[in-house]
Amino acid sequence: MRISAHLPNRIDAQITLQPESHFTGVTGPSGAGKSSLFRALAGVEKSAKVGTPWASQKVGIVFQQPMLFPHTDVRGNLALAQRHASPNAMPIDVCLRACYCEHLIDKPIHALSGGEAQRVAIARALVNGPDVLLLDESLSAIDVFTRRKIYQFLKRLCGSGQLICFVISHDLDDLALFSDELIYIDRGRAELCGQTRDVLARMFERESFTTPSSVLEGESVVTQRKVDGNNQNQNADSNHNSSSVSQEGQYGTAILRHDNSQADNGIVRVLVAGHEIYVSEESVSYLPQHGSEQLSVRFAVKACDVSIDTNITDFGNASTISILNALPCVISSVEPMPTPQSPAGEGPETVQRRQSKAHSAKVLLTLTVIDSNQTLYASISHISLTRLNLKTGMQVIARFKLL
Amino acid sequence: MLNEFFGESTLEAILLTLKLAFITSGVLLFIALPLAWFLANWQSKAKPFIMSVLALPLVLPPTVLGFYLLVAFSPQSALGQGWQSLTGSNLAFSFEGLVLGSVIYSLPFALQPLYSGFSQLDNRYLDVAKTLGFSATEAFMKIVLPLSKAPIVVALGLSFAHTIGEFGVVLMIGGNIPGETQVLSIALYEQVEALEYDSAHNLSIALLVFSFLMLAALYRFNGTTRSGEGR
Repeated sequence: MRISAHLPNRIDAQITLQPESHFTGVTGPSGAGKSSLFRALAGVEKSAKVGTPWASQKVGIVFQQPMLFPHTDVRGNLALAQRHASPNAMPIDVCLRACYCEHLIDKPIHALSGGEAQRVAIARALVNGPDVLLLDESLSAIDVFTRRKIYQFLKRLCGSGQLICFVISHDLDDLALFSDELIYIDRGRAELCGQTRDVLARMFERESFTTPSSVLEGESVVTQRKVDGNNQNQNADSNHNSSSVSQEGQYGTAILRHDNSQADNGIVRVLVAGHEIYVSEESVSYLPQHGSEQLSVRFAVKACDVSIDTNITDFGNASTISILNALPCVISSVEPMPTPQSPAGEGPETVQRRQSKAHSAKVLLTLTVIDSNQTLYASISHISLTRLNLKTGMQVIARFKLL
Repeated sequence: MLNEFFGESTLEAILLTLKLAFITSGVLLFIALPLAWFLANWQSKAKPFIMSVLALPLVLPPTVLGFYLLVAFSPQSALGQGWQSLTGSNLAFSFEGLVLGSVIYSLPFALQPLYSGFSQLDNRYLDVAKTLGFSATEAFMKIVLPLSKAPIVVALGLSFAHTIGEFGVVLMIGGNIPGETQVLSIALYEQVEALEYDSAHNLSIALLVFSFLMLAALYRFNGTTRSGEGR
C-alpha cells in the first residue's frame, strides 16, 4: 500500500505499508507535520497533492479537539453524521457502546468533559461509516482504561477488514500495543516506516527516550472456567438485550468479545516462549486470529520496568519477591543510556547530538528471550551492571511486575 | 389609544417606518448572508477596497449618499429609466426607492456582524462536515447558519434599528410624502418645525425607549449565547 502526500512547506511524505496493515500508528515530534499529513489524506487541504489506494472510499477524521457541533446535543451530532452514512455503517447504539458514551446521548455539547467529547467525536465518525479513519490524537484526553478498550474495538474492526485506521499519538505504548506498522514523521517526511517493533528500535537509535519499550507477543491462556464464564456472560447479555445484539450482528459480537475478553479478574495470562506472563487487561492488544484456537496477544514492556536476575537456577521458584513475571533471556548488547533531551532539542541534527551527548548513570540492556527470539529492553544502573558483572552473551532472568 | 397618544399622521408614519424596517432587514439578510460568507472566505488583494466600498455608508454623511442615490434614481439615469420602463413609475420619491436606499445605507450594519461571525468560525467544523459527506451548501445550511445564530440576530437587529432611525438618506430620496415616504424621523422633524413640541416629545420618548430596548435585547442575547458556548 503506497501513500504519498505533498503540501507545500509542510509535508512531503512517501509511505509504503504492507497490504495487511489495517491499523497504522503515526508519531513524531510536535510540528513535524503529522496533522498536516492527516488533513491532506482526509482531503481538507485544497493545495495538497495526495496519492492513496482508497481514492474512491470514505475517509473520516477526528481531531484532537473533538469539533462537535455545539448548536445541537450528542444525539443531534450523531444524527448529522448519519445523514450521509455508508450503507454498511454501524448503528448509532453500537458506536455509542463501543466508545463508552451511551449515557451521554442527551447531553448538550458544552456539558461534556474533554474525554467525553473525544469519545463522542469518535462515535460520530464511526456512525458515518468511514472506510478509512484518521485519528489525530483523538484519544489523548481519555483515561487509559477506556482508551485501550476503544483501541481494542477499533483494532477488531480493522482485523475484520471493515476499517483502515491511522492513529497519531505521542503515547508509544499505545502505538506499540495496537499498530500493525508504525510511521515516524519528522520535518514533514516519513523518516521511518515499517513493523512497529523495528521502527520503535530505530526511533530509539535516532532520538533520546528515557524508557524505550519492547513489544512482546504470545498466546493468551484461556482456562475452561473462563471459557464457560464467557459463554454464560455472552448468553446473559444476549438474553438481556437480544434484539439489540441481533441487529448489531458482527459489530455486536466484536463488542461482546472485547468486553468479555480473556481476562480473569482483570488479568490476562500470556504464554511467551512457554512461560506464563501476567498482564493486566488494558495492557494487551488482541491480534487478528488466523484459524488458531489460541488468541494471540501483544503487550509492551517499558525498559525501566525490567529487573535483571542472574540466579537462573531459581527461575520458577522466586517465592521471596513480589515480581510476578520472569523470562529467561540472553544479553545481546549493553549500551550506555543517553540523558533525556528536552523537547526543544529535537531537530535535524539528532543523530549527531546523540553521538556527542552526555550519558546518564544507567545502561540499556538489549535482551533476547530464549526460545522466542523476541527482544526485551532493560534499563539498569551502572552500579548494578558492575555488581552483577553483566556481559554480552550472558544468560539472565528478566523480571517485571504485572503490566 | 396609540392614535390619541401619537396622532393619526404620526401613527401612519410609525406603521410606514416599521414596514420599511421589516422589508429592509429581510432583504438585507438575504443579501448580506451570502455576501459576508463569500467575503470571509475570499483571499484577494482587492478585498480591502471592496470592504471599504461596502462599509462607506458607515462614515459617509447620509446626505452625500442620499444625493448620489437621488441622481441614480432619476429618470435620466439608467437605473431610474430601467425602473420606469419596468413599473411605469418613478423610483425617486417612492416607497420602493426608499427600500432600495435603506438597503444600501444599512448594508454595513448587517454585513459587519455576519462577516465577523463567519471569520471567527473554526473552519475545522466545515472540515468535519466535509468528511461526513456534506456538500458546501448543506454544510452552510446545517452547520454554519445554526452556529452563526448570534451574528445573524445582531445583524437583523442592527439593520432594523438603523432603518427605524434613518433621516438624511430618506429625506433626500423620499421627500416627505405622508403615507408614502414620510417616516418617523421626518415626521418628528416636521413636528419640531411646526413647534408641536408635545407630539415631538411623545414620538421622541417612544423612539428612545424602542432604541434602548432593542439594543438591550441584542446585548442580552449576545451575552447569553457567548456564555452558553463557553461552558
